[in-house]
Amino acid sequence: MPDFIKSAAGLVYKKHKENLKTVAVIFPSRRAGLYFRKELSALIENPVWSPAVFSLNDFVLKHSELDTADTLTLVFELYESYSKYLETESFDEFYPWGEMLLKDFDVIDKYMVDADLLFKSIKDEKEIEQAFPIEAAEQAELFWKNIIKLQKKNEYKDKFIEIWSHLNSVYGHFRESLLGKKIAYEGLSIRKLAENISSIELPYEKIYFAGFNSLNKCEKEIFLSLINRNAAETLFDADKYFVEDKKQEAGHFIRQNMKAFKNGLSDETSGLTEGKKNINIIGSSLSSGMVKSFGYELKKFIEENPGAEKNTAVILPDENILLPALYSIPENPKEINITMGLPFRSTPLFALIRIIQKLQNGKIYEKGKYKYYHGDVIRLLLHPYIKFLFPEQIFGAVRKIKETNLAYIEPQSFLLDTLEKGNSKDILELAFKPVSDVNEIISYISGLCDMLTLKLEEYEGNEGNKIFQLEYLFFLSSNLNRLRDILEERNTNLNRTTFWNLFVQQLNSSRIVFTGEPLKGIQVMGLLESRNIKYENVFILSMNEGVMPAGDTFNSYIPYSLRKAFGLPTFEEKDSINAYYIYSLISKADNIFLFYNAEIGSDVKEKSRYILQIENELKSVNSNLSVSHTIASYSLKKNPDNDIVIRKDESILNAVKENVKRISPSDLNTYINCTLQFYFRNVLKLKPEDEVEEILSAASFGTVFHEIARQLYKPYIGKTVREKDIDEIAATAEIDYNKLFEDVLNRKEELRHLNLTEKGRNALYKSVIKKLLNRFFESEKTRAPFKVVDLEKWCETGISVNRDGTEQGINLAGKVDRIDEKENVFEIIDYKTGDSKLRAFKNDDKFYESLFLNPDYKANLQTLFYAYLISLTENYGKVNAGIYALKEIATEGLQLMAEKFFNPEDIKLFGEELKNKIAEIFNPEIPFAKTDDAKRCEYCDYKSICGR
Amino acid sequence: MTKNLKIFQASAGSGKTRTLVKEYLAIVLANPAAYKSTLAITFTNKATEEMKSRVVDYLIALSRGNEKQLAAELTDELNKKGRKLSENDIAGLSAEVLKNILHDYSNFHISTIDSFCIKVLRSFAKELGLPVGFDIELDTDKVLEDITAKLLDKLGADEELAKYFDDYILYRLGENSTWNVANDLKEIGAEIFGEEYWRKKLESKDDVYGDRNKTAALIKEINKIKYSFENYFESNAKKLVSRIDSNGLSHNDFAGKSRGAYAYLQRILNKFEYAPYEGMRTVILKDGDLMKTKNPLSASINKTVREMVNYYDKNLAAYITACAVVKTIYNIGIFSDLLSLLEEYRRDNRVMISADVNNLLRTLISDDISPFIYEKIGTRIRSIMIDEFQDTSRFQWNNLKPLVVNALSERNTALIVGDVKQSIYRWRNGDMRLLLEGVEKDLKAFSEMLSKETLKTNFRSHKNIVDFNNRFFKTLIANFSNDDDNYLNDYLRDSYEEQSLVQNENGKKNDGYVKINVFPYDKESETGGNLQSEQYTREILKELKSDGYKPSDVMVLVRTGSESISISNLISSEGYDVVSERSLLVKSSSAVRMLVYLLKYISDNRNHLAKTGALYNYCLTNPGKADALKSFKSGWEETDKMFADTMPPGFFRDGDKKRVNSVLNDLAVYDLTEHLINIFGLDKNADPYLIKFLDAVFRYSKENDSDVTSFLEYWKSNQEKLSIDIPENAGGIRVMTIHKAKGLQGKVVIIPYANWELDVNGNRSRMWASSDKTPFNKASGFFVKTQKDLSESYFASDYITESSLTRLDNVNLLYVAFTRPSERLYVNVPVKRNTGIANRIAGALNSAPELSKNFNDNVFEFGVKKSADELREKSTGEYFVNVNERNELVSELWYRKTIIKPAYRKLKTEQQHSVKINRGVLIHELLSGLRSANDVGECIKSAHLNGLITSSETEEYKNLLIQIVTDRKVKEWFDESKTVMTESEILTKEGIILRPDRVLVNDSEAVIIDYKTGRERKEHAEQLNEYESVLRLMGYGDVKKYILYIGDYEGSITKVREA
Ligand code: SF4
Repeated sequence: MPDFIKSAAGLVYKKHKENLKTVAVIFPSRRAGLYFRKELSALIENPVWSPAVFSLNDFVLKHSELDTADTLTLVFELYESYSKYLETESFDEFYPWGEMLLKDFDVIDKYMVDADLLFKSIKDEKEIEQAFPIEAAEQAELFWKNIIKLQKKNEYKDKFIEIWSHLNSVYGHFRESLLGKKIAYEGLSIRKLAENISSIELPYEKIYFAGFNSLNKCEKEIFLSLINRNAAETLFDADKYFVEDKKQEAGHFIRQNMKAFKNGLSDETSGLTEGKKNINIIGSSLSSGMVKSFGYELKKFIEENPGAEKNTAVILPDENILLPALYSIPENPKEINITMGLPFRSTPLFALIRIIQKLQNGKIYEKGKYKYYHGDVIRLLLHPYIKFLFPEQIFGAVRKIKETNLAYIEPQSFLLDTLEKGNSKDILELAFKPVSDVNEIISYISGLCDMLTLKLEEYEGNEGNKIFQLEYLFFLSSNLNRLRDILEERNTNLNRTTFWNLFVQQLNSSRIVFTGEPLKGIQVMGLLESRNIKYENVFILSMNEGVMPAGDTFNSYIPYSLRKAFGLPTFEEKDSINAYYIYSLISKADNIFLFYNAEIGSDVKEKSRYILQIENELKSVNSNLSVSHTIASYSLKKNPDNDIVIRKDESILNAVKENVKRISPSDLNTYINCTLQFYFRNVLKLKPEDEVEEILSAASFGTVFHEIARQLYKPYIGKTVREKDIDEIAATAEIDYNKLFEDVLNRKEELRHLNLTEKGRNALYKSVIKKLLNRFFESEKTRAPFKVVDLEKWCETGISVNRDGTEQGINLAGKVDRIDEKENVFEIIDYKTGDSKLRAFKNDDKFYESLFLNPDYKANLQTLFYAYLISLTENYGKVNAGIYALKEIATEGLQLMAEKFFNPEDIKLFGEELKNKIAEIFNPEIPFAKTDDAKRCEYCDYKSICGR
Repeated sequence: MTKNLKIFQASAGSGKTRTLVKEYLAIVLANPAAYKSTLAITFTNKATEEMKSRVVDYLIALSRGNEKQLAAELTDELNKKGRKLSENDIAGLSAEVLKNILHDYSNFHISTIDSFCIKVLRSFAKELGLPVGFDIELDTDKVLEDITAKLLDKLGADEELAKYFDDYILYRLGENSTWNVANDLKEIGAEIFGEEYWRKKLESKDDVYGDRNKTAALIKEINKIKYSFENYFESNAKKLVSRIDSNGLSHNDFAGKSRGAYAYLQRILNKFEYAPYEGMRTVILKDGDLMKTKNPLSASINKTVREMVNYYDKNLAAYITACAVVKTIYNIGIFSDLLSLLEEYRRDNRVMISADVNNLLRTLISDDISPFIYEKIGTRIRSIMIDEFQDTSRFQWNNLKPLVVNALSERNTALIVGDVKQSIYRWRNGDMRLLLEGVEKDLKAFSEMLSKETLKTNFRSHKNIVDFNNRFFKTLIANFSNDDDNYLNDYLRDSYEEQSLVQNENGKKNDGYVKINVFPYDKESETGGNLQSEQYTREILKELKSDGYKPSDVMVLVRTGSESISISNLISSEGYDVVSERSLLVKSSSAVRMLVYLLKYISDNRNHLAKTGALYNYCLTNPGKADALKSFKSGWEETDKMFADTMPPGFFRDGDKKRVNSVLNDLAVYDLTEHLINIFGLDKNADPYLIKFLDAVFRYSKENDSDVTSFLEYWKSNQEKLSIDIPENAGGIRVMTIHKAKGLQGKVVIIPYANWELDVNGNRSRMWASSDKTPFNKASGFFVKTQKDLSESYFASDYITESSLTRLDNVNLLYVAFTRPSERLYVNVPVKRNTGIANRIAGALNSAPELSKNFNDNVFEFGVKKSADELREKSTGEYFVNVNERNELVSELWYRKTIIKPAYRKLKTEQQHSVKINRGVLIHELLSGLRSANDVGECIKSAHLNGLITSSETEEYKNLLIQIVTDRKVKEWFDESKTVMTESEILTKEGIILRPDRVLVNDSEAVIIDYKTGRERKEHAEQLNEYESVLRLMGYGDVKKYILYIGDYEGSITKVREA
């Protein structure tokens, strides 16, 4: 297959054997230069001074008197110019817009466009005539005709014209102020260079411009003037296929170039038209699927062609899949070289930055101390960079946070003091340092960076990874320094939010460029980096529209037809550049693998046009070409059946006895809901992960109500409560409500966090509870008079259940919210805050059956459970039981289960049934198993064990 | 006048896409450049992809002279347009067009309506004041979650809002509804993305919403209407009843006895029902006496009750309206707060929420805007085609209309394809009324260009199925007209007009079989399904098996998710594989569940549940490792031990099974997942679930955060949503909802529970309504439950529309379901109530001519049963894409073998915290860029610009450099007395490239200088010797070699050494 660089080297050597160091060879990329020198050295006898080899950028930098400034500086400059003519938002909001304008200005200069004309804005038909130079006329006039067409006054049109008509001034002002500072953006400096190229002295006998494809106006000018001075020559990397096929976009620029300049290399290569190649097209669903298919094919390929990796390139047009792709490179090859940017976004360090951003912005100031939001604290602690230092202690800390259930945390007393001194503690002290103004923040971050760097350097584990982590850190700190500098130099002081947004935006769009060893191992690179270079085997990923090529997404404020009118590039040019890269890559290669994502989705488009072109055209042009197209999919295996049946063998049974010594209504309920759930919860005691409860959960809501109610009724225990008493209670509640509420929260450790005023929802629920209380008192009055016998009474008593002959002792237990006596019936009362339905008592099998099978009856079960329990512990005589369903309190009031009171016989009978049910738990014949009714799993903590 | 405005009615299976593509081809063949200016709008991304590839495939075929049929159709299509063409011309043109498209593909404008709208929005971002270069947020729930939470959190601070909520809560407690408002707020809040809300908002002139006090006032007013009505009746009733009782009268003393005035009054008090008995009305009408027995009371009773009846008739409407409104008005009242929070969300996150793209675009659109849009998006569209029009929403249409108008007024094609009968996406704002009438109204101006066509042939189903559907639906619809609520059937009738309903079977397929079982709905089964129908389903499955159908031929269509669950359970209990939405969930893979548990465990090594779960699922996925159930052996010690023994090598730290391998502690979530895949050998048995999970991790950390904790948060709230696409190679019976099945087909279709509701159901559905009666006209609109009694309220007209549409929806569901099969259709019809689709089906079967005779004792059979093989079509043409199945993937640790030249600078601690960078390395870098003492300044400047040194450091480094280059020992190296060869490289023929730091030459003499930092090493000298020998080869007779040592942290010369 053809090898452009080799031929270029050959030519240069042939002409300049004697004195290579007097020539300069300029490639589009530095990388090509490296390969060039390698080829060259293969031709020489003795060591020689190498010719000057560099990229066009370097060339421009060398010879222009302007320094190219970084984007941030430029956007700052632009911001100032812009705000002179048009209104602006805050800098961070302006940034993306500024970036876009910057690009536009850049291209205007690169193509030497007359900005006056371009930014001319037309009010009405008359102006259009003669407004534009002939070459631009047609398109531009049509554009403005269409704009003017809108008769109706249209605010968006006005806005557009408003902006458009000022851009020229902005551009002018911007340029001047840059030139004043002797800095520039690429376009500006190359335009300057092009303008006085004729007067520039060059220390070379000959310059070779090698491997260029798309040339902007400035570049053309420069080339031409040097060629005319006979100081330069052009060498093009062109293949017959796209030179001759006039419609093949890959040749768009080359065809132009061949007209404008002569190709120093005799004639085009024929790699595409005649070369014997295999092209394998492979589609798989999802980008992960695609990446893994790539790994699979590469593995196979290397196994079949040992050592082939040396001439193999992996092309990643979408930088985002760099990491996944790297993980998919098989054991062989043993060496990988990366020549592309890793999006900083995808590094753990970026996550860390975002965390500390939230941490610092979310902190609150309470009682003279800064407190951090627990969620952020946990995320920080568990972040790799912190966690790896001392995992055990971190786990401890995190658990403590979750257990003590604090929404906001005061790091010093809570965290730092508990950690023993030492190298791990200092980093946390640093991380939890409260910072507010921008300078503080900056030194805070860079402090963290340095410290982390130190820790990592000392850290022994995970060697390989370490180097990269250190790279990330270095990258971050130098970015930060740059930012700090720029801010200082221009002494702009941003406010906190602007800074954070700006900083994160910056990082979000930046990439870390690794410098590796380009001549070793398998080469991983972006499409751009592959320019001009020959690889025998290429694996190209992301062969989908939208990536290959990017297609009709062009971010510029200059409308398409005006770009056309003034000869500025559009997405069409972008597409053809892309086409050129891929075809010249293919033309040099023997084995080509193209991977695409076959699962169309919101952000995944169909397979690339190049695949269509290859299958429908290239195939028929080149008879030596073999093309295969495969859909690679993963076979769907049946999931292993995970029917969980826990048979009660000896050990299990013992465990049950061991752990189930006491049964409360809720335990029983769990058992009825699902026996397996009961096993997990009550026997294995598998605790669900606890989480910090930020806002009042249903449970705590109940607790609070209970507590307050109890407080209010305490004084009346043993007394008879009349309507007026309730009025008094209500009054107290009215007056002391806040105090009562606070008290509860302070008494109940697990509720303490809830009196955070800034958590609005709690404020809301606080008032809800108050209203509930009022309603509650209303319906209490309708019951009065009654006697309060007891409150929050803990009842527990041993019973024995009979299982296959042997007796099994067990305790029934539970907390009864309240016991009243009314018309000498003892009423066992339970407050219910959630949804709960109490059905009237029926003494029939159907009722009992559902009672013990159907969780919907849990209110009844509980009520009866208590009735029975009480009948065992106290001798109250007449007993009734029921619930206050606070949800229905408006209309229902106290709902009692029995008409007047329970017939003792019924209670006994229930007791027997209850015992049978409990006996079941110990019955070796009946295993613990999943419930059939998946609906019961909805709130179960063990779903992902059972796969429900 | 050429018919440029085409509307196609495309019933099920009528080759809609083909027609669309044909029309497209007609345009581009007529003018091979027209693709640049033709916009085809499809509904889903998949549809877009399909249409594009169809166009390309047809062009290929045509250019090769294949697809004769199509070629013929196109020729006369073009002839109509006045282009005389032969079939060869077609081939030639196709080739040309194909070439154009393949090489200008970005101008091949087929796209979804959303991506088109987004494109427009982007190009106007600046003018609309949207963040330039915004991203798109697809997850509406997430956004709602966020903004409602924010709203509630404001309660602490915002007094007024808190007050408002107090009333709200009070009201709710009165209504016995739960105190937890958060959910309602989210659920109802979702309406801010709905079009109905906005339309009401836009239609209304003055609107109290947005002004909280006015809103509160309105609410009071409305509550007053409710309560005063109730009080009126209750107080009157109380009075009279007490008097009646005190007179010891009974029902019998009243006309109509137990349905008389007394009963009525009692009913008011006990049941809060205010409607008078009909009997009473008649009496009142002819001025009769409401009492049978003479009684002094009668006068006053008659008077009052008469009043009451009149009062009732007069105020009922207002009362019902009020009752309906109060339920949700509190929520709607604060929509404006939600909206501003949404605004904020957009700005802060620089996103557009895809759900409100159309709404945002609306503001931009005006009827002459098109040219402006075209200039902004850079595409001048001439012709436009819109697919699936029945699912298009008002706003979408309004946004597209100007483009259509523009096309037509320039005499270009505008084409619309759809089928009202298949519109089942109203809940996604789809509005079939557009297709039914709207478009034609809106485009009246072009009526003389209009041509309406119906695609008559059904290419999908076999003859008998087509016949059946023709007859069945004809009768079904006809029967509706006999009902009393016939006024609800207008939409139905229009949508199912004979000419659009009745299809021709396509000659090739002369078979097809339909079987329908009708039976009374009896008791629920364990799994919540219906016993009888499950019995039938079992039989059907047997029958299909014996007739040689593969499970993958069968498609089971249900209405709801829970139906899908119960039927899936049944099918799998019959031993078939099932492909259902549940079975496709990523979390249904035990390997995935293991990974999640491992992630949890790694974030908290005392999480015993995670440990157990990981262990269990690991054993499940690796049979033979250990008995999975043992993971649940009682006692944590056992589990711990088993865990330690079972987990694969690499998971624990060497020789310490208590702690995980430290590598696992310092990774981001994606890296961690890959490591785990590698450690747990999942790379040896990968499947689509694993890939999807990996992809989810990848996407999440790409788009959000890369730490484990936040991923687990994400997983918690999304595991119910993440599922894999139905893989091509899925072998099982497909169970899916009818909505999902739209556009799909199956050889056999089973509908196990054809008994969904037909009409509006107050408990479930809600609607937007408005009225011009005070006080209800003070607010733009209300969101009310669609209960029957609304027909008597001020919302009657809105209610009737809603009910008619609902009815249509539910019939359409039936139509979509019935038209999926190609060979067999099985339906089970459990008749529950006398409303509902079920007994409509029964009714139709009874009365349909040609059909009724096949309907005996509740079983309906039609057509012929043939075995699967008899019907199997010869596969046409060879399949050039080959499929390769695998279950291995590569997951290797790359960084171990990646070569990079570290750029970071070593640090050293001084005392705690403060650190210092290694100046030496930097000085080295600076020196090697330095030509002579004179350009120290330059050198420093560029170093600064490249971010190597900060401005604060510049002085320091400048001095260091000067100090060095002026140092007695070395200064003549920098004084340009010799030719300096900085940055120059030496090539050797071995391909080695040497870069000495500094070489000075003077004809045959050469001086080499190498800069080194840190301690002195002997390799340093060796390297110089190598340089020397090379230089000698290059002809430099006398070579001097120096090493300049620079202190690591000082950065100044420590030593100069001649080597
Ligand atoms: S998930 Fe369902 S089956 Fe499993 S334990 Fe929980 S309730 Fe029982």
